[in-house]
Amino acid sequence: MKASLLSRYAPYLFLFPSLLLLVAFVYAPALENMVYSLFSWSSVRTEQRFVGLDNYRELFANPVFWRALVNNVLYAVISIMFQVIVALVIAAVLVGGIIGPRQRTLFRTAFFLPSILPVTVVGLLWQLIYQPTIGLIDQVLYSTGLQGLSHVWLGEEATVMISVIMVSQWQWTGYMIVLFMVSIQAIPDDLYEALKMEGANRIQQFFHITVPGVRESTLILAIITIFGAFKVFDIVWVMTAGGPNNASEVLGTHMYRSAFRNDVSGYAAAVATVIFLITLAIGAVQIRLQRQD
Amino acid sequence: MSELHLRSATKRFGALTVIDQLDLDVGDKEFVVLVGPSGCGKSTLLRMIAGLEDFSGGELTIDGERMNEVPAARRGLAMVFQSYALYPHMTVAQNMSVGLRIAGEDKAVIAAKVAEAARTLQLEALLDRKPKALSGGQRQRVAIGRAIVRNPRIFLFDEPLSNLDAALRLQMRLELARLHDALDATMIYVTHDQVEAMTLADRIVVMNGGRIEQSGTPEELYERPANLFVAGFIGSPKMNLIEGQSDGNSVTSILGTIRVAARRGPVTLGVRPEHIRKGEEGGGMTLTGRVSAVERLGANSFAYLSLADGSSLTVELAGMTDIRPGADLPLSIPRDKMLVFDASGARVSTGL
Repeated sequence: MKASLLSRYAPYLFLFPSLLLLVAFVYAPALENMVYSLFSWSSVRTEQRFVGLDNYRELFANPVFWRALVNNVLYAVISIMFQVIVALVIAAVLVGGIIGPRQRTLFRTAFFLPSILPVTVVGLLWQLIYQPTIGLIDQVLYSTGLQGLSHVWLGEEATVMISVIMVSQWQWTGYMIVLFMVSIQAIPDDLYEALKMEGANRIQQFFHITVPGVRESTLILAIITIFGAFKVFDIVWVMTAGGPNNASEVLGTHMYRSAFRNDVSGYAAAVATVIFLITLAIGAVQIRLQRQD
Repeated sequence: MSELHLRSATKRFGALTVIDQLDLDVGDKEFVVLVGPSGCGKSTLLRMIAGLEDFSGGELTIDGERMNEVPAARRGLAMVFQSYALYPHMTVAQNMSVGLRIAGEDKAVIAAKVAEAARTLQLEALLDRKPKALSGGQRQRVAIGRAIVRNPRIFLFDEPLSNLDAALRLQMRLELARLHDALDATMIYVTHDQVEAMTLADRIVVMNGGRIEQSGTPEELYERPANLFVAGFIGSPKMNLIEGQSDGNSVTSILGTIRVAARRGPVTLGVRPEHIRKGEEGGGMTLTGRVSAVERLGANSFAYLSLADGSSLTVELAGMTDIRPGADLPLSIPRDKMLVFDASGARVSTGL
């Protein structure tokens, strides 16, 4: 009797510590944050004034919020293009036996390397590369006679967001390539050989075998990429802090600035809630898609 | 007409020679089985024929045309893989038609060919299923169907029955034999299972260490193995091999002395378990062995005996024998069933 009681509750006993930590530091603060978003308050005062949905009204009326949201969507779209589509193609090329095993290792390492660098280092590095006139990009443009294409990459509203986004692609595409390579290598060689005997060229093999074969991983990696794009903060903050003139603002920097620079904590909590709901929706889509398999 | 010829076919992986100067001729509508222990090069040879491995040397011709440089898809071959290599996201019909679809064949033609292959293989009810919803035998049939749809000059099979359980293997073996008759096609079949080789082949090619040990009909290989390797490989349980000594005119062993002209020196005598008779009425060489184990299979039994010099002997007995381990069993061996192999392993013509 005692033994069976123990065996029935033992799993919960083991789960309890991590559950406690999750509730205390994730679920409870997330709910608390939603409550905070209904108040007008400052982090340096104790009184809080209930304002209902005023913070959200202000949020949806704020062009900076919409700018940030559009930037996050752009981040997600370009990240999917590079970190999922381009990464899958490059992974297939590396695994596909077109190049030798030694070159494969070389390229894989080279592509992977940026992902182990700290974001702050990457940000500073690319600030130098993007420098007008003396930066690497402008140097190349000037020396090839293409100075007409030169920009103040991080200083112009038209180019700043795409410039920052491309740094993320440089940093993370190689990481995704390695994940895709693992996934592609799990596909049996027989399938490729059988299709080769049917007369399929490499492109047909890619679409008939590789793409369906990595469908699961593609789905998960795409979702992770979108999550990352909506939660992005560090690289933007390091490189531009959302400037110039909020042109590279994303929801993360908008929230941070509201909370810790402008000291409108209730408003910042509303931004945080919106980010939370967006990622929740993406997570729901992911679970839905996975269940279909 | 579909004939295939290999001349001095050679395959090296680095310093390792896997196929060594191999010659092979496969005639039109012939069912040739390549058999040998694992690592003998049989699968590599099949893959070279298929175009999945390059030749390090030698030449492959099909119907007189050199094929070494022709891509796999244009050799007019179809291969059935051990794993079946079915595309998991495609239905049975899509799996069978993938080659035709890639070739841009007309939809009506594709549908007709798939329907015909499905009828031949009794797959009609399964055409809309995905591979994971099929049993092992059904998957195997789909893989064969995919080959049939291509209407190849030659069918290649790479250990196609290895992943099936024993009962299904027997059934598929019969189906393959029937299919060969029905399609009237040339087939090259790789297996390590000598029962498959014996039952399916018009001609068996026994391979070992990248070379052909012997090529011939199942009867030839069974009755007149060219050497010790083939003698030991073909037949289950294995042929009894007994050490002996030749003085030039006769061979002496634990079985006694028989007159045979073999070169002076050590020789090996071979006799199949079913040729050894119980009792001494056989009129051949007689001996007695002590039974160490008995396997009763129903229709026949196998007794494993140890002889006076410690060597062992397997004897096939009819029915469910009542002989028990520990008993002494008198035996006789007809002289004309005795094979003699010289020190190099080659069979000596006994002239008996």
